[in-house]
Amino acid sequence: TSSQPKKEFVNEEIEETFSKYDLPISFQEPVTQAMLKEILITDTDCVSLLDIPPNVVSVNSDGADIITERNKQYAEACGKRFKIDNYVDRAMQTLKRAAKNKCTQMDLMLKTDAGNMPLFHLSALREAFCFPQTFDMFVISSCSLKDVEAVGTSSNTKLDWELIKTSEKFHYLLVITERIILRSIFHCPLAAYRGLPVKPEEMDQSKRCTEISCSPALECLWVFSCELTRGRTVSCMAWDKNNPDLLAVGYSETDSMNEKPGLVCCWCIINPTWPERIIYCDGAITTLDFSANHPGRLAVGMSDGVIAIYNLQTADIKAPTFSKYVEETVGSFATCISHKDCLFLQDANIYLTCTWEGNIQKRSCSRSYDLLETYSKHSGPANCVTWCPFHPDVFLSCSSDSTIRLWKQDCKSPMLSFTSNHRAVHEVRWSPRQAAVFGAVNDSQLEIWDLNTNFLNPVIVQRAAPGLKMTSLLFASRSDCVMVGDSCGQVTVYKLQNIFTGESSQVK
Amino acid sequence: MDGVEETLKRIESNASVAGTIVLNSEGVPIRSSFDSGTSSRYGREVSEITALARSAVRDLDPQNDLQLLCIRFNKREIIIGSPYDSILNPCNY
Repeated sequence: TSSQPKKEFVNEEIEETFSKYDLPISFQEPVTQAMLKEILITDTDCVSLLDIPPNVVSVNSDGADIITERNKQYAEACGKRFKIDNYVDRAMQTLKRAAKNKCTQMDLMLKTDAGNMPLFHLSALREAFCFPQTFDMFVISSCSLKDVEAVGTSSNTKLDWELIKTSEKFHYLLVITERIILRSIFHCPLAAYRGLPVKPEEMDQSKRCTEISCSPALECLWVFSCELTRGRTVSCMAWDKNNPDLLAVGYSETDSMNEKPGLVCCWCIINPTWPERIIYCDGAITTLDFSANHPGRLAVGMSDGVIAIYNLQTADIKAPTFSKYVEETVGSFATCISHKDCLFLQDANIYLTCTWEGNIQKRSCSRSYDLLETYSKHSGPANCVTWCPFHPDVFLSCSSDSTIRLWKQDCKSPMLSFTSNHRAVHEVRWSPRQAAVFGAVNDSQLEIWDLNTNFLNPVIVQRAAPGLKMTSLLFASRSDCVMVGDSCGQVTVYKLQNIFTGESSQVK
Repeated sequence: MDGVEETLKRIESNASVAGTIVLNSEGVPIRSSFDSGTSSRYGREVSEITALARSAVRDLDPQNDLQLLCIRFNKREIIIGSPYDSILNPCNY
């Protein structure tokens, strides 16, 4: 007759909660045969805090009308709750505090999922927290059942740790914590990379005292290196076009005796101590590049003629999503591939290849690799060719004859030629931010040339550490920095200082 | 990507990190690079302050929950990460 009984199933007991640090001794000693002579098992008293049993009244009794009237009023009040000012909606937080375990001896409860039905065995489970509503009780009891299974001694830690290790959330939290720690360590170099000012009190003691010079210089910011890359030679580097903080670095074997699988590491600027993605490949990596249209795809070219495309979005990369063996060069990702032939796209139609003999050939994509023009001046194999980002007809080439030559597309002989020391130049790159500035790397040093200032000598020369050979070079597009890879598997980030942007002055 | 153990080892091997402690929901250290005395001390204090911080966050926005808490002392910094059942606690100088 009455409305649904709100069975506040509060079967709470008050009991002493032992702090973990003073467990009674009896729990820790093993139970021997002698102790089992006389055991008295008792229950602590059960204290009921709140017990409101429903009052059931027959319809036919005298006071029934009053009661039905009251019930109706209550139902109306509940319905009008949202409109009357007497009642204000407030959110409550339900904190699931730590469950307190109580050891009991009993058979394991079999539990079945039965929706909102109250459990009938609850009186046997002695838990020291309160159950607000029936269905909540169900949820809480299921957790406590798991604890009961696991035997409530304090040395439960092994099991907990195994469980925690598999938790995704925990792993994510660890990654974040690692980044926070690294961020505070690399705070100054990272700020310098992004071109942000750093407050003097945040800098190291050593850096505060250096004088500021006005001549062009390189400041070493940090080094990408980890134990996986030690001993390998950096062969190529590429920025992710979609995420300018991601750098992919390809490593090849150092000497042919020690045949290690090729390695590609994707580094993020946030973490110079460990790469975000690690890919092992079968052959030595000669080149790689990111896709401009498909985020997260990296194309890798290897020395044995294989091109593989990897999807970087999954954390665990075992196999490429696409792999093809090519005999000749392909120009889809603007990468250069096997066997020392280099390939660089300017626009969709024209590209340049450089060859062993030292010639640079201009070909056209649309006319099936027809040879349009040959530029020959180098006396050694041409290693690298790069178009100028500011002037569409100008390109630079470098070669093992230790020269760098500046060409114009329609002219068969080079405009300018640069040498500084007699070493094979491995790579030359234009600066994406300053016209007339380019960098070149040979075995022993990194050179930054500024054509506005000086045609004959590089404005900055950074020598490699003894025993190291510099092998690869890349400018950062969003920052005045240059990345240099060397033969020990390190990629050093240098910041260019005091090189000023000038007008593009490629006239001769 | 490597697993939890490797990441934890990398964090611990960092020069500026003094150590890490993993606590369960009761504040008992499960895995720690400090000795048990220090770990249990940190565990007690950290679980109290995390509970306080979490209740503050949820009072302000019940849909939210506490994810990370960094406490910077004069000489140290404690980073407390708390998913729903465990607390990680690296202390660095």
